[in-house]
Amino acid sequence: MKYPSVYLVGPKATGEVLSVAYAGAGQHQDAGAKMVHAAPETSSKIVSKSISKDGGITTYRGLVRVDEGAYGCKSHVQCDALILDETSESRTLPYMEVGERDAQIGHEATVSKIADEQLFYLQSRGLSQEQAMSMVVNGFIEPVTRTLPMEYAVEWSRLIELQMEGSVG
Amino acid sequence: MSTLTISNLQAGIPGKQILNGIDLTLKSGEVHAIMGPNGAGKSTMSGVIMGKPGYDVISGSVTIDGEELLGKPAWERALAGLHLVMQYPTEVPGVHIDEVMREAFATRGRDTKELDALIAKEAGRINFSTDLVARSLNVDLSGGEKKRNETLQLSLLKPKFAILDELDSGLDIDALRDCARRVEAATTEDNLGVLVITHYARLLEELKPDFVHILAAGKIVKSGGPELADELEKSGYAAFQ
Repeated sequence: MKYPSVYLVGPKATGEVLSVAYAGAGQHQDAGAKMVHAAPETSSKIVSKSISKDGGITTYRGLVRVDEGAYGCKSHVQCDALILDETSESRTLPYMEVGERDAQIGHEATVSKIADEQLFYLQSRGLSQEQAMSMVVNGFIEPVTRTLPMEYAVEWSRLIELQMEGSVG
Repeated sequence: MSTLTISNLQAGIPGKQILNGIDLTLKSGEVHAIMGPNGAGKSTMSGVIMGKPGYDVISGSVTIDGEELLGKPAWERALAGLHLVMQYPTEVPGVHIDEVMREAFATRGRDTKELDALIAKEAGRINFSTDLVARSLNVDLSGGEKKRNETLQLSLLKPKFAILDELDSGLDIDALRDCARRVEAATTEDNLGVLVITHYARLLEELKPDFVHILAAGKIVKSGGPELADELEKSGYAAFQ
């Protein structure tokens, strides 16, 4: 479980959380973020990317709270889930507690399955099933990866490759 | 000199046979056109040869220089020298062509040091903007850009044989000319053997076939030289069904 929280206590403060979760066999990754808008005209953004495989479950659980008196606040939450096989699962539990009428709160959620067509396309260029799978998964989290320093990004993509090893189907 | 041999290929989707015994021999440097009406089995043929999931092979064989391809996963067929230019290239968000080519080169044991320069050079040959090369694979590309992207990959990977599945669908005349001429050039520069699958003779004005085969109801019903394509253009497919 991982819920980093950001308290926006000064006017016009901004907060941003990028979250990536991976759940493999026997794992349930319950993760997300909290944004508390305690001052006027504060803004926040949460981007959550989750990947589930081999029966793993990912849950996005997040809170966006706008306190009374915190007028003119904006928040955007984006949850993308990628499910790699038939036995895996993804859940999304977004909580919103909004105390001001003029708050602009957006929530976007997508759930996608890795498509056979994508794997076939990459395989037809000579990439093995595992290479193709790593590439699609790395592509999925690329919007987050590209914000990381180079060393971390490389490390991250190696981690994904390790997780995809031995995956067939 | 290599040879792609298709013999008595019978295949289909579960519960339905679509290809009823295809025989075809394609040599390096040759261009063979497969023409046929909708539903003749053209896309099934390209899918079965490349190993696309969802098709069942009933009997027959597909070999490159005697090496059997049927039963192998698509990537092993690619490493054996086969390439498929897809009719509808698949979108792969967040994945870029240079990454795919880097992996594909490495798998083939090819040097990747000059890859960026090579991509720029090959993109230039088909008037494909290098800005577009930096986008996610086939995401937010127009029909013509997708086919230029496919042609770019073909020219980089230098396979022994390429199947062009309706290269001419969804692209404008300029893109068609750029792509067709690049493939034509590969037949002499790299001795590429080409199987062009198309409805229309127009593509064949740019990419000149040595042989034309008419596919109807899952069988090759007639084979001939380039004049067969002209004949078809006049008479239509009805005469061959």
